[in-house]
Amino acid sequence: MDATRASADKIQDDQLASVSTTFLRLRPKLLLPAGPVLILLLVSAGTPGEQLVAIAANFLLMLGFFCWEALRMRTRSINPQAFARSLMVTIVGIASVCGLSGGPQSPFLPILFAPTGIAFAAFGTSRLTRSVLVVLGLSVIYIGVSRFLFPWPAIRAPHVHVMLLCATLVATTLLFFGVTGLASAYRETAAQLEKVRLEVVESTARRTSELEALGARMAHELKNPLASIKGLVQLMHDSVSRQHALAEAALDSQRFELRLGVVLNEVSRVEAVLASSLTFTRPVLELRKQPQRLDTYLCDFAELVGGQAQQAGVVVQVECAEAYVEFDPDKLKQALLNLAQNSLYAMPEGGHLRLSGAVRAHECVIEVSDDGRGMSCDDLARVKEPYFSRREGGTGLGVAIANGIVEQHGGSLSFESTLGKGTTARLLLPLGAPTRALSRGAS
Amino acid sequence: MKARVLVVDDEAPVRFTVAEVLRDAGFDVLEADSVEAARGPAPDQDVIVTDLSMPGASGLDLLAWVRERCPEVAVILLTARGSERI
Repeated sequence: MDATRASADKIQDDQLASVSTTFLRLRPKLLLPAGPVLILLLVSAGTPGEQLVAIAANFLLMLGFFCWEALRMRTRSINPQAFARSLMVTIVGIASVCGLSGGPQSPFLPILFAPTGIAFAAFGTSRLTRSVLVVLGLSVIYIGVSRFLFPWPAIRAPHVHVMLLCATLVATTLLFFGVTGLASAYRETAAQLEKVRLEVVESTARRTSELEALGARMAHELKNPLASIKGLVQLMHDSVSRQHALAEAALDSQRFELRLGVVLNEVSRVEAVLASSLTFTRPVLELRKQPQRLDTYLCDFAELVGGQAQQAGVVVQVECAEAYVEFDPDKLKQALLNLAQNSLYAMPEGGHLRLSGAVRAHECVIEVSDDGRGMSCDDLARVKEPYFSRREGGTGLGVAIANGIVEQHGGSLSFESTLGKGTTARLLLPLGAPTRALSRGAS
Repeated sequence: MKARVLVVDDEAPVRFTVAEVLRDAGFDVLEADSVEAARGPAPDQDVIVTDLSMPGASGLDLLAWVRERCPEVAVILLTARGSERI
């Protein structure tokens, strides 16, 4: 569930970033028209020159800061910490204007609610809200004592009332855009989380049914060897208790040896089924991706299967240009080995095993081809099924494991086959790291 | 004279086990790994014990063949299936 929480945080941060970016871009546009109205009202209220200049300069400074931020937001988006800093600077700016325009009697006091309210809505009860509250507290103290710092009188009525109404209107508008934007962002976050939750539920259900099917097939696979083991051991047990086995002639001890041989083989088969199933059901083992030179890797792999291929009368060919691809070399080797072994099995009379690699725009293609007996359409459709095998004593897990490994890399495994002509297994791996391919051929 | 039994199963260990149990019980046992291989010796048997599902021809195919050619031979079908639905 940690992954879900992390994705929830990520979604919420993204939403917050998008809303705050929009808000910061919009803010100077709302404040710009208020500037001339404010100056006009201050002049007509007979505000002393120095006070007028101080307020206007402060207002212009704030507007400049807002415009600068809006410009920055055109090319990038903001993180929660930077948004909180911006809101705190805004509070300080508004408090400064309030201090210059009558302190506790300033008509601009209501505007303080805009950044504070937006901070509450954006950050909830987090540390950022607490920082904003500290700045607000200090600002309020400053506003309180500012009466004693500046000798200017409070702005006269009725102008102060008009300004109060204007300030309330501006604060309400800013709150409206900020808070409604955040509210719909939270709704959107909830919707996205619901989607993530459904995906998790779905994939868990899918995985469970896969495991159930796997369990059923495994039970089926183990039933036959166990029946043999039980039957033969029972036979030997009965014959020992009848005092036949050791008393009688050499034929009986040969029989015994033969039976024990089958029992041993069957136990090994059970072990093989269990061991492969464990690898198959646990593809969660972390991938250790490393950049690899594909042509060298395939040549090394050809060396690896070379001995076995030679014994089977198979010629191994590698066809790959110089290319660099990122994957887990050990896991991919296992996948390729499983596929190559199927190919060798399909060529009992010898033939050609071709390993080819190529890098396309977004993916790396690796092919394992043979000119062996090929597969029927029915077999081709079932080839990736766990426990499907046409090989005597095969566990039927080779392709399933290879498929699991390729899928773990985010890629796909597909097969093409013609009866009597051969089979090609195609692995597509998405390119994670930068790769380059030159036209020079290597073999 | 010992009764003759032919055991037909594609899976060698299972076939061997069934054959061994029958040999131990005193039968004259022959083994075949497919229906095709079983057709030759089938008419000379007293009983055929065959697996139901095998690659290629199945135990039922063998049963039909035996009914037609040598109906005096008894056929016993073995299966790991849990129900009579095939």
